[in-house]
Amino acid sequence: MDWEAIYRGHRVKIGKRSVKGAEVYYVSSSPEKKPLVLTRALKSGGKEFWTSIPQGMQREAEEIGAIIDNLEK
Amino acid sequence: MCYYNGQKVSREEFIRLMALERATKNYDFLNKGVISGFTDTPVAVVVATEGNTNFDIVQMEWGFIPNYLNTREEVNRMRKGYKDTNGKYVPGQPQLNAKSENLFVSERSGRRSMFYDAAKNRRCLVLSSGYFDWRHVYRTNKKTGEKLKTPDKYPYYVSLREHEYFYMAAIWNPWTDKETGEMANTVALVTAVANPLMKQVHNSKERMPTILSDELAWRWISEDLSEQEILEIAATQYPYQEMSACTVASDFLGKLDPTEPFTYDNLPAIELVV
Repeated sequence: MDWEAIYRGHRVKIGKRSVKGAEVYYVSSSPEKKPLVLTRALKSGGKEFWTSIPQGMQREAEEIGAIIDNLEK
Repeated sequence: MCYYNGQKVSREEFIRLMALERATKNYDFLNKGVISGFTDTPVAVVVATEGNTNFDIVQMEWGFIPNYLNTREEVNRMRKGYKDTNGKYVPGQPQLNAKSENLFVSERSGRRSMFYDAAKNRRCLVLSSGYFDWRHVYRTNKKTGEKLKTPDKYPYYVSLREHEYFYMAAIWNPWTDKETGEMANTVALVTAVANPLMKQVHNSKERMPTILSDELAWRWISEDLSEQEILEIAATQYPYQEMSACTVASDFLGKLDPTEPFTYDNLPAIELVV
């Protein structure tokens, strides 16, 4: 599954893949750049949240995650 | 309690996310729109698990390395070409493809093929959502009316109408560099004679990858097949009625969506007589 979306004024390509039984999302802004990898995870209270893999891009994960939520509605 | 990206998560969830980190790190082909045989990008390959009850997706290097090559230097010479002792240039053979007709007996030498063992014992599938091939069109010299020697090359994106992903027959070989100990699993796509659509698209060689139905794909990797059965499956021509071929921009490799259709003025349409 692949989509295109606009994030912070840039056209990005979002791909959904299944890795080790989990859904992960690849976000590419250019074929030359390493993609941002996102997934949905569970907080200790049981609530879902978006996170980057590896850690370090939480803000982007939440913003792009919201876009993906919309795309998947 | 642990934290992942600033969020409080259970230890179990933390371990799952760390495992996912490792897995996504190992699968660096997943985001690639185009994988070229002339770069080092690994390809996604389906192999049967032991006992042939299930399958695994693994990464391999595209470009079959036969075991008679001892070092990376020798591999690079074979792939890129070299000058022999008489100064004559020997063209490169990247071994990206293995012709179905060559799996057991080499067409060139008439002797046992270098693909023999792999075809017999190490068959696999390359996962694809589509591939690119070039159509050669020769213009004519306006003054003389003769065909020009160098063709114009138009890239096409070829895919299956009803399948987002499909399987291409392939064979693989585990190779070890005898100097450094480097180990690499290398793979070659099996190719068949082109069907009527691919005859017009890949008109310079009239070949196409051996695309298999789900049933044939499973047989290809999991069954103990006779040489005759292997050759029959390897020569499969996917029905052209179920394929589509569309021109893409000549600089498609650098595009965000390399498969985006592009129209060339003056390019004659492909004609299929059904």
